[in-house]
Amino acid sequence: MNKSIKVLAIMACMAGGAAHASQVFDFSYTFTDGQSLFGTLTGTEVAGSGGAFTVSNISNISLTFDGNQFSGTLSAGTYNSAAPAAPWNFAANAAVVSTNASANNFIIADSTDPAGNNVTNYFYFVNGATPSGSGTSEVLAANFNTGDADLDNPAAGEWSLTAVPVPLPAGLPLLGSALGIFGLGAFRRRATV
Amino acid sequence: MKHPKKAAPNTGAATRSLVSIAVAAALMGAAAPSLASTPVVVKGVVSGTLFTPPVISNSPSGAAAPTTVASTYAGATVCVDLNANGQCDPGEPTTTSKSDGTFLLAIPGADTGNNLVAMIPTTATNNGAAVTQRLVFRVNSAQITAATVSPLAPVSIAVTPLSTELTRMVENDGLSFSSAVTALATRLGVASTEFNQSLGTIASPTDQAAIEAESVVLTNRWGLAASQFDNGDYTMMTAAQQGAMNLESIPRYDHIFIIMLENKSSASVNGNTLTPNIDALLASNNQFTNYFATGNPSEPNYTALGGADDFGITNDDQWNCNATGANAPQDLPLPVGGSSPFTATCTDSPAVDHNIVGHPNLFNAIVSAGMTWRTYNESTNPGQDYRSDGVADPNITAADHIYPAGTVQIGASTNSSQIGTTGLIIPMPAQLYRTKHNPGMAYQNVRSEYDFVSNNRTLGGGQWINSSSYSATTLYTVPANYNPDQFSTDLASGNVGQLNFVIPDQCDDMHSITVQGTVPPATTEVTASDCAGVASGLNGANDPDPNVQTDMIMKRGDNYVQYLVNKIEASALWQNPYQRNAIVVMFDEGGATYSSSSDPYDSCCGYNPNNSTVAVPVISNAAGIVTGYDTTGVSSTLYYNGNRGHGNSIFAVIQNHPAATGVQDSDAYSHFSFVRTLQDMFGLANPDQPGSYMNRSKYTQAFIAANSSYLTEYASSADPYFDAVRPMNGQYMVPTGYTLPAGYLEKVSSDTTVSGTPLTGASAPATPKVNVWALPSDLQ
Repeated sequence: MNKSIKVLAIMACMAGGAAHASQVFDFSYTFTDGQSLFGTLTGTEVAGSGGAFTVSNISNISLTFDGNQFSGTLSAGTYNSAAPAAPWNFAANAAVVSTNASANNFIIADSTDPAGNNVTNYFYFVNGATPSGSGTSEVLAANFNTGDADLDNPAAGEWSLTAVPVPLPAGLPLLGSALGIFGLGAFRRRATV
Repeated sequence: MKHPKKAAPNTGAATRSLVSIAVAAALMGAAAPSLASTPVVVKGVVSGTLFTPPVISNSPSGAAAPTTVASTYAGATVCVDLNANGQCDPGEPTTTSKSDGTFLLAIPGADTGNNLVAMIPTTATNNGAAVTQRLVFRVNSAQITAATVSPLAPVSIAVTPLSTELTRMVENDGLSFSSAVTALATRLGVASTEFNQSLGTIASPTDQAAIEAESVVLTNRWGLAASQFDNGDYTMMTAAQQGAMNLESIPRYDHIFIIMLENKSSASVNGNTLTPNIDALLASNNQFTNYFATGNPSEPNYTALGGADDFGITNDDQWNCNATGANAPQDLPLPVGGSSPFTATCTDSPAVDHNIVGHPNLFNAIVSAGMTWRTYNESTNPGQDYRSDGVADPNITAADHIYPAGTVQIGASTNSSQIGTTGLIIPMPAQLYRTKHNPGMAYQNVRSEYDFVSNNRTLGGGQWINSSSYSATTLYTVPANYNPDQFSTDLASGNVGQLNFVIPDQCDDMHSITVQGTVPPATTEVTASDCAGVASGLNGANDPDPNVQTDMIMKRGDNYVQYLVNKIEASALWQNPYQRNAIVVMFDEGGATYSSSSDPYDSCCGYNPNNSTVAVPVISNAAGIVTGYDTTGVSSTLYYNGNRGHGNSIFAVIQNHPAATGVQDSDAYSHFSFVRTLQDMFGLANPDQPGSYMNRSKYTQAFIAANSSYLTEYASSADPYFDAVRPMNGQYMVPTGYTLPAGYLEKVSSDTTVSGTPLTGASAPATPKVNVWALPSDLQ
């Protein structure tokens, strides 16, 4: 687990399992042919299993694919593999963007029309019955402004989702106190061994 | 110009219409998602076939079979064809296929609804092999729509020779995409779901084989299209691809069956009451009314039909006669027993080589283009080697053909007494099958072809094959699975060639041989009723002879032609509403005696008009410029004796889906014209490359003019048009104001329909002339 995720785990303990406040997260994907995609989004982390977590209430998305930033206001939607003719839903606000790539089921696009009309760029990472019908996991990025497109059916994709460790000014003293108490407790436990 | 439609049995147009309606109804019930302004990511593959042509060799050990494998093209430029010109242009969304032939192409919503184009340059590779001829494949936009599962999902698209054909059909045949899919699937006999996938992923083996075979043929056509486009013949690739399906205005056909008859002039058949079936076929279908032989007797004519030259052969000596030195036969003996195919009686004096070594011909060309030829030969000895003439077999017997009184129309009356001998038992005579009547036999590289043995096949329906004693032969080792009528079997399965010579025996083809038997217990030899010789009318004189018994071979041949036509027309491939098939009924020669002064019009179109002193054929480069004389594998030092006319004969064209019937083209044509026509029909030559036409079929007026110093036989030609080869298409090249020479039997300007409606001729060239081979608009 990397450092930022450790921090988040600590924060989750402090909150007693409750949802956290919005944060900024970085994400990136490197396609097998070398093209890369990265971006940021704002959302709320929801604890998952095995140390993984997902992000909900996604907003403020920016995305750069093959060196070109996606245009328009980007929104996140969900993918429903059980409805292959109309699998996209931008209204449910239930996109699954996870640190666990095999849990991803989301689309990011500059249009919220589930029929795909007027989209100029989009990116999806889905699992299950894939849109193309091949594989069990699929990543697609397309920028119709530039003509760039890439598609993977990754078994273990180069996917990364990390929280950006930005200090929250109003809560910083409390965080310091909490860490101090936590650290003291630990010291005492070690001291008694 | 409208022509009367053939009433029956052609129901193809109606069937095709009904199928289209059904498809449209089905589509209405399963509406495709609306994709207006929806962007599409195409996940495609540029796929086709890698065809390795057979090795053509004079030596059987050097020959090899072709191979075809499904393939993908790497390095193809794939684009959205925004301006619908069949090319990739600057500004159009473009990508390049990867090493495995795949590509991704992002098509903005504003650009959906356009076709895709894959330009395959010679720098691309096909399964890693070099691409030798630039190609352009296309995909109709409706294929993308049909393959779309959901919005924003990648659409899997295969860009193939067949997707290109579907696109061409939509553009030129007035079909919707779904109707085009139905048409192509029905024509090929495959599932309609097979076309949008890489050719290597088709699950059904039979479908894959059919689609791969079609892919090879189409790839050749698209290569011709690109070549002609690059040559400036067309300004649009879309038009070039349609043009490639109609080289020199000869449409592509799926199968042609050429029924060969013997030695009767047009005048001997037209109006002869002994040939009512043939006359009816001529009247109810289409015909060429001035078709000429190019030699005499049979062998030079059949050799010319096989490759547009007779190479100086002027008699019927067997294929290995006088073949020595570089022309010595290289055939492999076959373990068939019986009569040796290498035994021959040679009569030429001085000697003329009958083994044509190293020259192009239709058979090599067909297999080199990924297609198949067949000869179907009647009344061969069971299990015999096709390089041997048939021999007498006393163990196989048949009854005489009996024609009861009143059943044979002769002129204005019928036979007053029975023709034929009741109880006459006729042993199978010798020479029912003759190698001289096999149009590929003279060519060494045909006899050495990998498929020579398997492509010469049996033809049933004859007097002896129908006999129960046919299996009693002891002459040859007869294979356990021997089929005396492979033609019927192949028609039933569809496993016929694209090019099929259907060759009746020497009784059923009107040639004549001596056929005698006895009426047991008597031992007196009695001649059979309908295989005796009859003279052909010489340039005009109709013949029935008053002696009915003598002329009955024409009745017999007429009946056999009807038998063959009925059999072909009853086959599934003939009934297929989307296959383009034709039957030709023709004679090898008419009846005339060439004379340069008194009767100079016994042939035309590439024959030897003035007793050339050129001892060997010429060879030319692709541009049609003669580069010298063919001294390699020279077939005859008496070349100048060949290529003489022997009068005209009927040439009927029966199509399963004719554009019109009753069409007559009375322009002058010869065997060389027919060979050129077949090269166009099957895409075996490039009209932009005059030298690509084989042997004398390249002797167009322009070719002769460009090479006059070599073609001295034409130096004093009184009529360069008449003496030149042209494809058998009245729409092609008839010069303005041309009038055929005086004494010519029928003038070009006399073209008429059967009903007498004037068509166009050379005297009125502003209107296109008729095209006997024309197809309905939805099959072009």
